[in-house]
Amino acid sequence: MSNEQSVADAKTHRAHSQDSSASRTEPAKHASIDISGLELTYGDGTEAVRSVHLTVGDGEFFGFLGPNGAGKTTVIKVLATLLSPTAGEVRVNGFDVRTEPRKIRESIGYMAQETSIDPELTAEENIRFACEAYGVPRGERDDRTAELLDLVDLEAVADKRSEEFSGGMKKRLDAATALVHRPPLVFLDEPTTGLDPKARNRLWEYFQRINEQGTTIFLTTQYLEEADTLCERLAVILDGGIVADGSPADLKRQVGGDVLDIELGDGPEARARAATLAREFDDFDIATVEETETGISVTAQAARQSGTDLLVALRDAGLTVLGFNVRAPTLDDVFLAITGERVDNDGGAAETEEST
Amino acid sequence: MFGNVAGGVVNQGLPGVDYTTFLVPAIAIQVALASAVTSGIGLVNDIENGMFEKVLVSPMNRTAVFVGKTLAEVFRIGLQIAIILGLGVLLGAEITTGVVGAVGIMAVGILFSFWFIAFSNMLAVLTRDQESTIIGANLLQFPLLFLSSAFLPLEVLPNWIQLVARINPVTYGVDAARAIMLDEDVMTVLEVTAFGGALDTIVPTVAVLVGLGFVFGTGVIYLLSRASSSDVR
Repeated sequence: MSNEQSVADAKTHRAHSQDSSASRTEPAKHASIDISGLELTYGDGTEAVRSVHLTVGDGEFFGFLGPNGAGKTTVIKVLATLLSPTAGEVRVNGFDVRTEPRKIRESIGYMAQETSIDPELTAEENIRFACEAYGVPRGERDDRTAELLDLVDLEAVADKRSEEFSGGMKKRLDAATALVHRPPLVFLDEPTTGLDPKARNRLWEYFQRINEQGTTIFLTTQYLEEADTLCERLAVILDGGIVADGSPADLKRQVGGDVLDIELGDGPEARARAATLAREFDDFDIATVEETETGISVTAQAARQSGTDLLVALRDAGLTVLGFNVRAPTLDDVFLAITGERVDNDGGAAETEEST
Repeated sequence: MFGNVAGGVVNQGLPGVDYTTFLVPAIAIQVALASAVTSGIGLVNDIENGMFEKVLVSPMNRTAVFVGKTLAEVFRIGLQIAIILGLGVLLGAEITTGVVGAVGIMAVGILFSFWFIAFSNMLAVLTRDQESTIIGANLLQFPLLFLSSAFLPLEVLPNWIQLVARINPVTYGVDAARAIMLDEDVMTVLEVTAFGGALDTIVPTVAVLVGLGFVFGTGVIYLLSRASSSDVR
């Protein structure tokens, strides 16, 4: 799809930045991640991933979305060499996950879903430990540690034990420890889950900063808003397979038009009637109609132009319209269109706000 | 007071030995046992706070990581036994075999700790839960100590305790340390006379401890390599 485009974009990015990737041995054209036909079946027979094909270009900010249990973390664990694939070819930074796991480990940063820092160590000690684990040369450790503490704004608490830190601080520290060896590729598995909006924004800025410096980022998230803000390209995984791939704008276009949310006054019966009316409404060629908790939600190309006509039709049919809102589709709608289920969190903004 | 009562009993089994001297080797083994528990707890902590996985995604050599962790624990155990021996001597205990004996007791304590370090780490990998590991290891720790030759000579204890003591690794650890301490054949659970003197205790007990360490060590290496391998389960 837009893969080549984004690789090209990424290159432009890289041209502007002086960064560590100079030390890389592979040709510049190669993809950071190249997955073909990946399958992973757990011992109990659960097919967590079936036939995933995916390429992530150098320098891309890539988002990997899917409902809980769709296989996001399984894929990331395969890429980080924590799980061995049942079938398929997986190359990370040009290395095969089966035969060269150590080379991959040297060249990636991995931030797990659960915050992984040693609470008994200070912020600085945690980073130093990571420096040692990743074999950062002794002479560079001081500078690197100071630089990372500065990058994640923890220099003021460098000497404090990390068990006293807030959730956001711990996450930032965790992110810093994943970067000590200047990896050209970083995996972030739901990095902002459970953080307050302020802490989330700071992490976002920070991820954008390292991406601008040329680092490829592979992010999984449940927050569609996060994927929309950060990612150049997205893929959606559902039931172990990739069902959509493209830029956030591409995916939104696939939803097929704008969304008209209508709030109705009467009970579920009225909603069902309204939904039937909307489906049969002539002005919309192809419309997706969904019953929501408070009314109905209609997605159609002509939602903006003909929305008022539908409202009139509803009123004529004796239904009470309490409120309505026409909006561009969010990734939440994309998700709904693709997966058939809404993401159950505060990230998607699909509430009707205005009143008549 | 316990010393006075127990001292009398000890004299029935080992004439001329005061209770402090009798007890110090047992404390040394107790310290080794208690420290070995913390090894498993440390591993569970690492699993729970994600450091275990973090090590797995890092390019560090995994064998080196586990060997390093064990060496750190072994060093701590050696140091703790040295402190116990020092305190014991201050309180009037006598190490008949002198400094060489003291080093020997430290070595026995470390050798003894291997099986329990392995055991507590096995609990850690199997349960992946801090409470279960602590409960499991502690539940065992005290019966192991009391149902052994640690605090009183076996011949003054009931038959069933003698029976349990015979299959209890603590008995072998304590007897080895005590034989070095007193330079005497103190073991009653096995009758060995082939080597003469204290060696009649030391050789068989050390053999038992090496065997135990080997068996449990194999178990924990199997479990750890399974836990850290990327094979799908």
